[in-house]
Amino acid sequence: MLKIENLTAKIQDKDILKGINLSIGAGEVHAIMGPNGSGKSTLANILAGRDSYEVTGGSVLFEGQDLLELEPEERACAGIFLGFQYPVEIPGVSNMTMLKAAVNARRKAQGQDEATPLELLQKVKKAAQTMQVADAMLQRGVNEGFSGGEKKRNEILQMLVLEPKLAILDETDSGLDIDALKVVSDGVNALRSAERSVVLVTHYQRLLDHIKPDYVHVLAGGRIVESGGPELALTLEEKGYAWIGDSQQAPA
Amino acid sequence: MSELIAPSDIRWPTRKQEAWKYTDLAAWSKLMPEAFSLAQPQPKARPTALWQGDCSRRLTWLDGQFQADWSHGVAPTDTQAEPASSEALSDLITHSRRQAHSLSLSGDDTCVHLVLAQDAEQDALSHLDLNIDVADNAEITLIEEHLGGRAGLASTQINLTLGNNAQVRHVRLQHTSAQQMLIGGQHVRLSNYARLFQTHVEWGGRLSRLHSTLALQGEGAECHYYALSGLTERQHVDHQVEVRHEAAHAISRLRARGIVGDSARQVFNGKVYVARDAQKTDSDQLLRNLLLSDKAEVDAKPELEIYADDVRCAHGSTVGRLDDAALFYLRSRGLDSTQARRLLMLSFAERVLREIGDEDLRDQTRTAIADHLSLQTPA
Repeated sequence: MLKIENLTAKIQDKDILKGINLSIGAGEVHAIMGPNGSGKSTLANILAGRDSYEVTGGSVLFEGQDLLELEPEERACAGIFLGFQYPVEIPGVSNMTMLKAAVNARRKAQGQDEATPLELLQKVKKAAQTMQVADAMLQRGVNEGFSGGEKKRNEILQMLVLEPKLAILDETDSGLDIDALKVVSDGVNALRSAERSVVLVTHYQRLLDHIKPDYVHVLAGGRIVESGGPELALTLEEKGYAWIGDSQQAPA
Repeated sequence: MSELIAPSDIRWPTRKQEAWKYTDLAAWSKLMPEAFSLAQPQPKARPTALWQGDCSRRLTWLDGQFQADWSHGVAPTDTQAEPASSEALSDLITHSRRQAHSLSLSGDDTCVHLVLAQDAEQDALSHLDLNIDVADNAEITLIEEHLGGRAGLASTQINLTLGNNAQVRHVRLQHTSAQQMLIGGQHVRLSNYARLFQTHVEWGGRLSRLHSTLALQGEGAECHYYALSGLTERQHVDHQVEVRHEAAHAISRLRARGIVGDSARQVFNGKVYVARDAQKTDSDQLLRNLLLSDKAEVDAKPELEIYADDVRCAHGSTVGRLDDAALFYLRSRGLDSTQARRLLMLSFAERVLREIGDEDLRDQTRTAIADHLSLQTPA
């Protein structure tokens, strides 16, 4: 589904990604872990098309097409979803208004008619139920006055409504208490299927207790320095990221 | 009376007059048509107002002339035109085709729609004086719409007096045609415990100037002035507002927001004056502007002049741009950049739009201003 080859990127003059190689197949869940500043969020944002990073080399293919050539909205319509680490507040524009525009943009790109108000409402209500989001919150401005946990639940709600092929969740677990973590994890698990893939960017192993990954990668110094199965996350939890530093050559 | 008058025959205010610093009409007069028409307007098709809802009175003027056929409810009374209240404009007003009317509103006039239309077939030079008295304890909704026109100049002077404990919700919508010019004045007087809620939304016209004097003459009076403009191309909107706290325990709120694109210009000067006797005044003003292009210009100045010692007066002013992080957020959800920009502009506008009580009118206004703003070339 997604094939990243030797991807390098910088922000201003600072090299952040120094050659990322990663393949994600349909239906797989990959966790990308790593210390602060290792490039995890950069990778997530580049995949979604944020233009504040400059891609300096390498390639990204999504279902065979060159992802880096597409605008952010084209990537979204092709089936990519980014769950933001810091979801943006848009006061005065309701969640419903944004979801309607987002759903219809996708349908238009696929040559379908706009969703009927009833179709949309049913879809959103179902997602809201899974995410334990009250109806009143759907009518409020996007993330307007939401707590950190509410914002993250709202991200997953949007994901459930938009049904992406590839969901990239950037530290969706940060700032969540145990109950909210469970709700968010249930939401992600509800989306899992043989056709959909998920990339979880996280610091902590605890998310992976709820969403079981197929693969775990460790990103450090702009490179993937270790890949393995779910057991790798447990080793990291036990030994810390310093262990990676010890077992690898220090990154340049 | 000749049917035509050249702008060069009129003595215009210049920027040497402080209140006209940003709207130098003498300079603007070079951009005006060669001649304005003073002929009778020819009422043909009834102008299409945004507000089509029920109202107890709908009063329509065309180029300042009252149109009984396009109106319902009790007609306004003709009155003797008083000398122009603004010296700077007296020569303009003297040369304009001039009408003066008055309205007395009581509790029966729950909703009054004032349609101030301009003729699309001539560049008229007109002036309308309108005196509106609102009875004690009356609660009224006033919807004032400016629309139509060609490249004429319409001036209006509205004197609005609120009796004791009267409440007026006043929505003023300005969506005249692209080359029309408007010079507006309003002088509002509030008696004891009177409450005024004004929402001004402008997206039409080439030049629109509004000079407001809001006098809180009664104790405990309240005035809420909300303004929103959405400007593109070379549009120019200039609001000069003076709030006068003349009695104790009065409240005033000024909230102005401008969305300014292309080479447009938004001017807002808000002055709050607090007299010595106006103790316990509670006033604040907040001016926020969104610049959409490098050529757009904003001049926003909040001012305070305070002579009482026990007051709460706050003010602030900000100018910003559309937030890149928010744009990316919406685009990552599939909205193209035009749609994303439109939603972010509406997000900014909503703080003022939500003050329009009627939901239909609010929705129509929101759509109209967003459509207007979407016409511009993205920066």
